[in-house]
Amino acid sequence: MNRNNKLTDTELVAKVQGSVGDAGDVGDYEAFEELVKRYERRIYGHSLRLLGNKEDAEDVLQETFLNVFRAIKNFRGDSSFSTWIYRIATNNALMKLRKSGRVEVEFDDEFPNIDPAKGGATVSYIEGPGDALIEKEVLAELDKAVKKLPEKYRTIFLLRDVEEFSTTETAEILDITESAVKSRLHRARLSLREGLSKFKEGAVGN
Amino acid sequence: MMSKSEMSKSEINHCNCKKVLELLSAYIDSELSNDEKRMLDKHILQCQPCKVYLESLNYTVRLSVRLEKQESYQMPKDVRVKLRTFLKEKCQCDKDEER
Repeated sequence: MNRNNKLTDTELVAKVQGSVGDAGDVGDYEAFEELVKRYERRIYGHSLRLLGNKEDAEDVLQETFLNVFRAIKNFRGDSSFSTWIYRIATNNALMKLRKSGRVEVEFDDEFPNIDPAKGGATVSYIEGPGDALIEKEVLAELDKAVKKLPEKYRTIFLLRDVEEFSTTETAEILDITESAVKSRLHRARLSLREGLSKFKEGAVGN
Repeated sequence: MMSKSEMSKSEINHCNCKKVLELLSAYIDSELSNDEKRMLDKHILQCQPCKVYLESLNYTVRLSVRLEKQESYQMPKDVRVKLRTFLKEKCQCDKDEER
């Protein structure tokens, strides 16, 4: 009977570390497998969103869990397991991205010159229990806009708004300040909102 | 032509719109101080473009979380199988080396 699925991440980590219970090698590995089961889907999705390539995402997935297995003995629990594994996965993905030599486009300016009073504030048309097909199209458009975000904004947006980590956790994962998280997230959201707004205007114009 | 008082009112409003724009993400994330929140609530009540802008930004944020479940990002079954084979092999090697 698998009792591991009832344990918290912290309890599983302790079992893998061999610091609690009477588990030998086999038991330790089963606890590790439970952690794999809990996080594999999320880590794969996160890597794919960051890298945009399935083979690369699969590599990152494998590297990440191997890194976790090798380093878990030294994991002291200063942060949550979830934050720790995302930190490893994000670093692996970013390293792969940089090695690939893909040229990252930067935003032209630090802050966009947007004036709400001058229009463009129209995305709310999709609110409510609207057409599922339209919603799917809008989601696809958002996905496209996310791919166009410069890496340092995309990473933060994905951690905060897609994976739903808090500002503090995102800052921990990326080893940057909370204020950097907040300002880059805001910049990313404004850019995505603009993208959706243009899509909507195009849809209305057709 | 605008009167002097109208011009100054317009400038203040414009200035507030810019300030409001900077604060919208923090507003959505409930990270504003009480004073800032009060200022923003008051402005939003009086300024339709900023109200619509906030709604659309809020919508963008709420839509974003759905990317997590989007079909194209789901892990294929074979990736799952390959991960297990890879880990069993590598982790076993590590254990053998330790012995």
